[in-house]
Order: sequence, then C-alpha cells, then structure tokens
Amino acid sequence: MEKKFLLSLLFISHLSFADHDEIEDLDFESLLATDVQITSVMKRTNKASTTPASVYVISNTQMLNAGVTSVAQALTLAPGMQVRKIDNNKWAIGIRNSAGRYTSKLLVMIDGQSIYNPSFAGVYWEALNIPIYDIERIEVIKGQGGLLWGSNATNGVVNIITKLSNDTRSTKISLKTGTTLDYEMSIRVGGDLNIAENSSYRFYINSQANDKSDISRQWTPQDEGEKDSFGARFDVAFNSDTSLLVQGDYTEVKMGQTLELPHPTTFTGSEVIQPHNRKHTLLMLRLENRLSDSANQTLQTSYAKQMGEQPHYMEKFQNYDIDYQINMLLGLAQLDIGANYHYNTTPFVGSEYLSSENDTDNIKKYGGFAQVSFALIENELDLIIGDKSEHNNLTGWEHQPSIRFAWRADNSQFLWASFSQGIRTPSLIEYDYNTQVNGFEIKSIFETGNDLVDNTRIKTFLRGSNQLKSERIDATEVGYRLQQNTWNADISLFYSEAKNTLSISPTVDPLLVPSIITLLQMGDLNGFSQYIQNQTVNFNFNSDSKQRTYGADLILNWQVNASANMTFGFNYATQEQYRVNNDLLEFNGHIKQAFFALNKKINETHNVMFQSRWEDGSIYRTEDFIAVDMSWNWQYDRHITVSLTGNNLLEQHHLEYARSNDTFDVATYIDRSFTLGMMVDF
Amino acid sequence: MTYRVVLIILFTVCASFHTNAQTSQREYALKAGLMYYFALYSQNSDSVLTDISHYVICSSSQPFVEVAEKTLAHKKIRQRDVKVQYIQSLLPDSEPCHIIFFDNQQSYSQYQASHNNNPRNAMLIGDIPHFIDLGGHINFIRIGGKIRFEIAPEQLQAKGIKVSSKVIRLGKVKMRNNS
Repeated sequence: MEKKFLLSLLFISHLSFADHDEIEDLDFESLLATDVQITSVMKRTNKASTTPASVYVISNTQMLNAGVTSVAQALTLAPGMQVRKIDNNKWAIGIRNSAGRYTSKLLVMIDGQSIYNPSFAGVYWEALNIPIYDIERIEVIKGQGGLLWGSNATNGVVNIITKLSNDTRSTKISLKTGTTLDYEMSIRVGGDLNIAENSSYRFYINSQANDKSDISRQWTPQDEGEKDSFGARFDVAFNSDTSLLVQGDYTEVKMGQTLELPHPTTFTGSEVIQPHNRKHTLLMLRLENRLSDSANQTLQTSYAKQMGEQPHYMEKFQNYDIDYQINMLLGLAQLDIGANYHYNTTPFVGSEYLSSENDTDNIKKYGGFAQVSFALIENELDLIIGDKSEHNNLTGWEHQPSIRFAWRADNSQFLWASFSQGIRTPSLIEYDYNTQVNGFEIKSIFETGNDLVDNTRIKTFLRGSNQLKSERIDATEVGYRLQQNTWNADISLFYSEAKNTLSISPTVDPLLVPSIITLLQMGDLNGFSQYIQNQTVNFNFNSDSKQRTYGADLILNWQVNASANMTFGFNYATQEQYRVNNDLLEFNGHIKQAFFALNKKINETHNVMFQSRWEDGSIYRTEDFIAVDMSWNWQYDRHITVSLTGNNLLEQHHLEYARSNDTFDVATYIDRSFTLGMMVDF
Repeated sequence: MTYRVVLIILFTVCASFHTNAQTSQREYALKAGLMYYFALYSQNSDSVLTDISHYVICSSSQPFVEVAEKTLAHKKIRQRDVKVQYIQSLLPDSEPCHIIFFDNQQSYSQYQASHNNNPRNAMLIGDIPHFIDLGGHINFIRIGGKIRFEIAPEQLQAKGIKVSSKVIRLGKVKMRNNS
C-alpha cells in the first residue's frame, strides 16, 4: 500500500491522471489539481496515464525544484524535448524533429490560447514571461495533436496551464540574481473579488534582465536582454455550474543581438548589431458552463497583439479567436464537438531585406471538429475517432482525421495506437514574403578559375509563393505503459510520412553565365561588377518534397524510496527528406538524447534536484554536449524559500546551436551559470 | 457531405448508449479523497469519537456512500480503518460519526433540527450554498472545473476539532456570517 502511494506521488508529477479508481492514490494537492469532469474543458489532458498519446506533464513542483527562470528552460525538464539555447535570449525548441529558431511544427498555448506568430507560425519563446510559481503545469504532447488543437500541431503541443487565481490569493515576491541572470524580480498579489461568491483575482509584475554571453560563434556577443511584464487573472464563479475566466498579459522585451545580414553591395553575410524589441499583448475570456453531470460547454474568445522591431523585419500582427466546445458523456461514449473562427491581421511592413509578393494582409480560418470516444470492450478497449476540418484563405479546406485505440491490458499495462493526418499551413514567409538572404556565390553556378569572380556574390532572395500547398503528415504511433510498484515505463514508437514539405529551387537568369563569360573575355571587370549588382537569384519556395520521420521515446520513472525519485529518458528520431532540390530548409539526420533526473528530498526543508542531458549535436552542426544542472531549495520557514541553481555545470561554455542558414541569428556559447533566489510568501 | 454523414453516424453511435452519472461519481470520489485528508490532518477531542474502533464518515447520500466506500477502501486514519456509513436519518442516537457529509439543504436542516439539544463534535462537511453561514465547518465549491473548499477554523475549534495549517492554507478561510 505504501509503495503504491509512493508510486502515485511519482506518477502524478509526470502523468496527471484521475480515473475513479485512481483517485484513491492521489495526494492532497493532486486531488485539488484534478478536473472534476473527464471531458476536457480547455483542451487539456486529463488522464495522461490512459491517454492514447505520448504525454509528459511538468509539474509546478518540478519547475520550482529545478530553479528554472523561464518557460523555455522549464521544457528541458521534459525528456525528449529538443531545447536548444541559441543565445541568452533566443531558443530553438521542437519535438521529434530538429528544432529551429523558426520551428513551425509545434503549437504552443497558454491556458488554451495559441501564441503562435503567423509570419513563421512559431513562437518567440523569449516573449514568454509568466512567473514560474503561478504555472500549475506544462503539458507536453508529443506527436500529432491537430484534431483537438488545430493545424500546425503536427509534431506536438505545449500547453502552459496557469493556476486558478483562487489558489494564488496571497502575496508572493521572488528575487533572483546570478552570473548570467542579472536580476529577476516578480511580485504577485491575489485575493478575493466581491462581485460574486468564490471569485478571485491576481495581479503580477515580472521583470528580468540578463547579461551577454562570454563568447559568440562569430563577432562579439551582444545578447544582453530585458523583459518586463505585467498581467492579471480573474476567476468568477457565478455558481457551481458557470464560471468566467478573464486574463491578460503585456510583455516588453528588449534584447541585444548580433545578426548576419547580407551586405548592401557585396551581399556577403555581415555583422549587424541592433536590438530586437518586442511588445506582446494577450487577452482572453473564457466562459465555462456545466450543462449537466455529463455535459459541459466552453466559449473562449481571445485577442493577441505582437509588435516586433528589428532591422530586417518589422511585425505588427493582431489575432482574434473565438472557440466554442461542447463535451458530453453519453453512456460509455464521450463526445467532443467544437467550432472555431480565427482572424489575423498581418499588415506588411517592408524593409531593405523584405518585400511582399502578394500583400497578404490577413489570415482567416474557420472550422470545426468532432471526436467520439467509446468502449469497444467495456473497461478494456476504447476507440477514439474524429476529424477536424478547417478552412483558411491561403490553402482552402484542410482535414485532419484521427483514429486511436486504447487498450487497458490489465491494471498495470496500457497499450495505445494512433493513426492520424496533420496539417501544417504555410507561414507568411513561405507564402508571401521575399526575404533577402546572404548572396549566392558565382562559383555555386560555374567556376571561372578567377577567385575574385568566383567568390563574388549575387543578390539572393527567398521567394514566397501563393501556390504552396499545406504540408500533410500521415502519422502512425504506438505506445506502451507499464506501471509497477516502484517504477513505471512509457514507450512510444512513431513513423510519419509528410507530403508537400517545403523545398527551394534556385532560378537564375539563363543569360547570366554567357554574360559573365563575355564580360570577362572582354576584361571588363567594371562592367562585370555593374552587371552583377543588378542580377538576382531567387530561391523559390515549393511544396513538392517529402519527408519521413521515425523514432522512439522511452521514459522510465523509479521511486527509489519515499524521498528520492529518478527519471531516465532516451529519445531517438531520424528525419529524411527526399525529392528535394537542396537541403537548405530541413536537415536530414538523427536526433538523439539521453536524459537523467534525480530529485532528492533531504528532509522536510531541503530538496536537491540534479539533471543531465546528453545531446547529439550533428543536426545542429555542433559538438555533442552534456548539460548538467543542479538546484538546491531550502524552505527556511513557512514564508521564505531560498534556492541556489547551477546550469551547464560540466563545461565553462558550449555551443548548442550552429545552424546559420535557416536564421539570421548568430549563436553564442552558453555559459556555465549560477543563480541565487529567494521567494517570500505572505 | 461526407463529413456530415460521419457526424450523423457519430451521433447515432453515441445516442445508442444510455446516459450514466460517471461525472458525478468522479466528483464524489474527489470529495471522498479530500475528506480523507481533512480527517488525516485534524484531531477531534471528543472522547466518544476517539474511542471507537473505526474512523466513520457518514452521509445520507447513497450515491456518495457507494463511491466513497470504493475510494476509501483500505484507507486508515491513525491505525483505524475508514468506514463509510449510509445513514438514512441522522438522529442523535444513531452511530457516532467523525465526519458527516451533506449534499443537500434538506438533510442538513433535518440534522440541525434533531441535534440542537445534543450536538456531537462531528466535522460537518457540505456541498450546499452558504453552508458555513448555516453552521457547517467545510463546504465544497466548484471553481474552474476543480473542487475547492471553504473552511471555518473557528467553528471547528469551537467543536474541539483542530485542523492543521496545511488544510487551512489550501482552503478558503471563511467566518460564519450570522446575519
């Protein structure tokens, strides 16, 4: 019995489950964190232990024990996540594929509100500045989640779930400083609202600044940064059946950066030092209503504004979203139906590096989904089928059907299989924009033997196309979970075939080569220079390629004793792109990660957490590296907690990201760092 | 058109099942789980309750008792097995209860009327609007799809029940509003 209880403690930190029979093993806090209804009102997983998908849940306790200072860093706690630090502000994060600064196959949400950027359909991780202590959990869903969550969730979903304001009705102050982190100061104030019984609020202010790195891949590091945020959340319970959530955040980011942008005359990559300033606003309103014991409905409206200023790219996007969802239990079946409308204003702001091909100034999406889950064999075998169909004004109607099987072999074994189709719609960079990139060298076309001529670069553009089709990914996944008294295992295998993946084909003026030869034969180098200045090479985006991805995830948890818990993880994936004209957009290769974490509660007041990740560097053009982090937390009294965290302890610094041809950002070496923190709870 | 057909088939499949009360069971299971921790983190000075061999949770709600019996099976509180007892009418001379759970106003009014002259120091837990104002000790509330609770430490103290700060910290402290 004791062992079972211990295991439940370990398991809930990773798998937030709560079946009727499983509730008996939950501890006090976990009971309060469990949703009453099996149906998911905010598209969050409820029964990860019996969810037919690869799910990992990072708990609030894990984040605090590890001393993380950002959501992006918190994701390193999930085995199998590809989390690469480009510099002290920027991150490349992905799941089951090589992560990029502009990875666009991962959907990220805060409390169900998508925070993606339409220009590259990815996320500016550095603009996320929610106080870690107010995050209830982060759910990481590996694999396709398109049916419930929408397009662009083809490789995974990260759902950041913040705490109910009812659970934060106190004042909390957090102060941190360190060798890389200059300072972090945050204050949260919470309390009851008088407008309705059982209603509450919280306000927070969070300010963070970091120093620059010691060494850059090239040139001098400029990656110091500042983040300032404030926000509020209001939870109003009109009665036990109807509640309203209103929340909003505003974040300003000022970060230094070194960019490698094409020189105006030589078109070679040259150093540009300019700050990147961002202003992000998020507003969300969600009305939840329980129709009966077996049905509930949710209406969510949200608004997001993202403004970005940097030398090569200005952004001024606004998103408006409306989502409606109804979930019901009908006998042994669960039915989820939803509809959504999304409007995005994307006014184009040109720069010397960017122009618009089609003047796409808005993106509209509307659609719906239906999913039914029912028992083929009661309490043993479930079938979940559904489809999400969505229309967008770039590529038309897209459909994302899915079939999943969930088999509880016995009380300790669970098997699942999933067959689904996911959609990734083109981003504005791919669909609409012409982006000037580092110039194409003449020797890439033909060689004259004259180095001066061969190394001369021609003005080069990445050219978007409104003929692009959505990428269509057919994915097959199987998984197995085994729960024993003191340990459990979670294994998943995946294979996906993607059609219409991006490729780029260069188009060169057919007269270019003969003209250069003629000018050189005439010895007219001035004429050659003038001629080259007026020439361009266009790399046109096409959706004619295919990609195959396959691999495996393994997570083992071992509750060593009442105070110690270990997690082992191994993740392997291969990505192969074929029928492609070049390899500029995707990298063929392997992703490998080995993960180990140990959490040891020394006594009632002291906790130590150790974590290490071995990362294969080949696909990122870096050396393999081992990241070792360690954190100590001391609960001084019931109000004060002190923490000391060391990151990247094994090396003075290492490079985590060296791909330069899919981003203008110049990566820096990530330094060893120490952070001292104190949290006061009044 | 194909998708309409699929939707119609889905609805038909679902409609062929009978509605059950799975969600209620889950909610009851959660409440029973929380009651276990209320009991674990409290001490009752009533000597009658201290001496009996089981830790007894009583309710006049049959569905709750059925679920709580399963959820709390094999649980122990201070070396005593937890027993969930269905009591049709909570009369003063019925079996002593450490916790009494009320899920409707009627059963609580009945309890109050019959115990006015002979109160026993049970922990009174409800799922009733304004339960604390009505003299209850802990009241369950639903917020944002989760179960939370209001607690009246002073009222508990008055009945000789001492609750640990952990429970009070996780709940919402409420004073009785006599007006």
